Amino acid sequence: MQTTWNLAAGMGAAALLAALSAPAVALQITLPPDDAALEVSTMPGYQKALQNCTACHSAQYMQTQPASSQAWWSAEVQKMKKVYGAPISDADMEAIAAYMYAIYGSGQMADKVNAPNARPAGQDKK
Amino acid sequence: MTKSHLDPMETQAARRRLLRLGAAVGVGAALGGVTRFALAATSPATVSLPFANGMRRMATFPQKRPLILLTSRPPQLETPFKTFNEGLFTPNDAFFVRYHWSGIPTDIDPETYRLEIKGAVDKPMSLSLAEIKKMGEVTLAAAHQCSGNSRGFFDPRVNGGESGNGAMGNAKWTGVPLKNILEKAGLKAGAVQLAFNGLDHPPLGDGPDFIKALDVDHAMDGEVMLAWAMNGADLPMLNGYPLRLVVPGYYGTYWVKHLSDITVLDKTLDNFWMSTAYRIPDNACACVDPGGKMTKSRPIGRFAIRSFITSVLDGDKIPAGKATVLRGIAFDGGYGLTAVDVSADGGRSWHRAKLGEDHGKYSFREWTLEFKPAKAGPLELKVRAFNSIGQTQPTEALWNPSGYMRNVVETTHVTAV
Repeated sequence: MQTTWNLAAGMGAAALLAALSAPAVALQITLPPDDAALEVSTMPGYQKALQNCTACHSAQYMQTQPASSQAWWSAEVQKMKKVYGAPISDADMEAIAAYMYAIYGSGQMADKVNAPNARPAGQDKK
Repeated sequence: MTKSHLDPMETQAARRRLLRLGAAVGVGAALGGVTRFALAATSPATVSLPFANGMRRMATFPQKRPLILLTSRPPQLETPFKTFNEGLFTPNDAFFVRYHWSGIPTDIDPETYRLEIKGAVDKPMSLSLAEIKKMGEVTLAAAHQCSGNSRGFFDPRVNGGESGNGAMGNAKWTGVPLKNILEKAGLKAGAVQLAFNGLDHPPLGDGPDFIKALDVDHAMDGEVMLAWAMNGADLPMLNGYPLRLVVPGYYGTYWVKHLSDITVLDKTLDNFWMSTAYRIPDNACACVDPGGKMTKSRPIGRFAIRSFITSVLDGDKIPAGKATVLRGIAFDGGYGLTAVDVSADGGRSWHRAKLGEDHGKYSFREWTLEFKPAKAGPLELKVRAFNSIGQTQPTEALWNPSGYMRNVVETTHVTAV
């Protein structure tokens, strides 16, 4: 029977050496939960963004952008649909872009949600 | 830069928290047939990258120490800059992580893993990891760097992955030269490029799978390799376990992780990742006027030459009237570094640094220079590297629309006290 180790990330060298000397066994990782969230908003684009954007990638993609124009956000939503295959209906495109620009357009959200004493992401009411 | 790369106190605190938790958890029991790496802790520590909207959390991912979190899904992690002063080779658990799609492998059995070699070959192959490891083994020191490393410093800003200077690293890669495998498969006459695909995939059906291509001559140069180990250990999952492409001197976009298949093509690969993304202005500087557009483009290629001061960070203090050994790193696209110069007066006068051990033309190279500030006061330290084909770094940052290849002469503000 093969011996295996359940290693916590960052554990000591002894555990790592033990793992390296083990026979070839499957490597399995468990990714930490994605605790970034889109900012709650009453704008119609918020619900559409939950369905179409963060279904595929974390909200940090939006949070970390520099200050950007509404035209840039519109083009980005277009790119997500046309290039990356996001299943966004044409009717929802502008609502999503308007929400993105209103919430993330000033390019300050990473500073806000990642501030040392920030509330958990997504908890700020708009 | 006006702020330090990160707050070391915060990082230290995060490490202590992690170690405490790790000690409490202990090493788990055998669970049968699988080595599992689980999350130990999500550190609440934060760092502030020195550009607008640069606040980031530190996060601990499997097989990784706390790193700067750019995105969670897919994982994109940046190495804290101070790590580059701790050794010339970047530890595996500190090495940066970059993915394009959130569909990433988290469970791979090296016994059942196979690499397919197909397309314009005489003998298509399906190779196990054990078979690949018997086809030759070389170890090569090579820097690895994201095309968009340092994108956050672009002015005007460029949208994308907003990295500081930590989307890079240096490792000793162990693997088999790709040439060995291709010679066994036999390239058919008319083979033009090789397309490299990995196990990562778009989360939904229609997205363009991340597939990159190299010209046949490049793939056959004997240096491009399929690596299973870095710094003497198996690749961490998030760095491409069990096998990744290593393309020495070239930007990371070509270093496809979790390789699943290599297709030999009789024409140039025309997909989103080659024809639209990862393109640079097709001119000598790979640049346009800041804020301008590209008219003609080409795929990104070799690293632009870079150098950094690592022993002091922006805002640090050094003693006046007493010698301090400044230290840092330099690397280029593999042409061979020839010199590193350092200035303490904002670039008015330059002093030649001493180069450290040569680990080969693709590796980070250490440089050191003893420096004694004559009097107390602010100092503007700068560093620039030169290579064998006459390349050096620009004093004013070059700009391109995707925020790639940043290599401006770096400036570190310190105060002699």
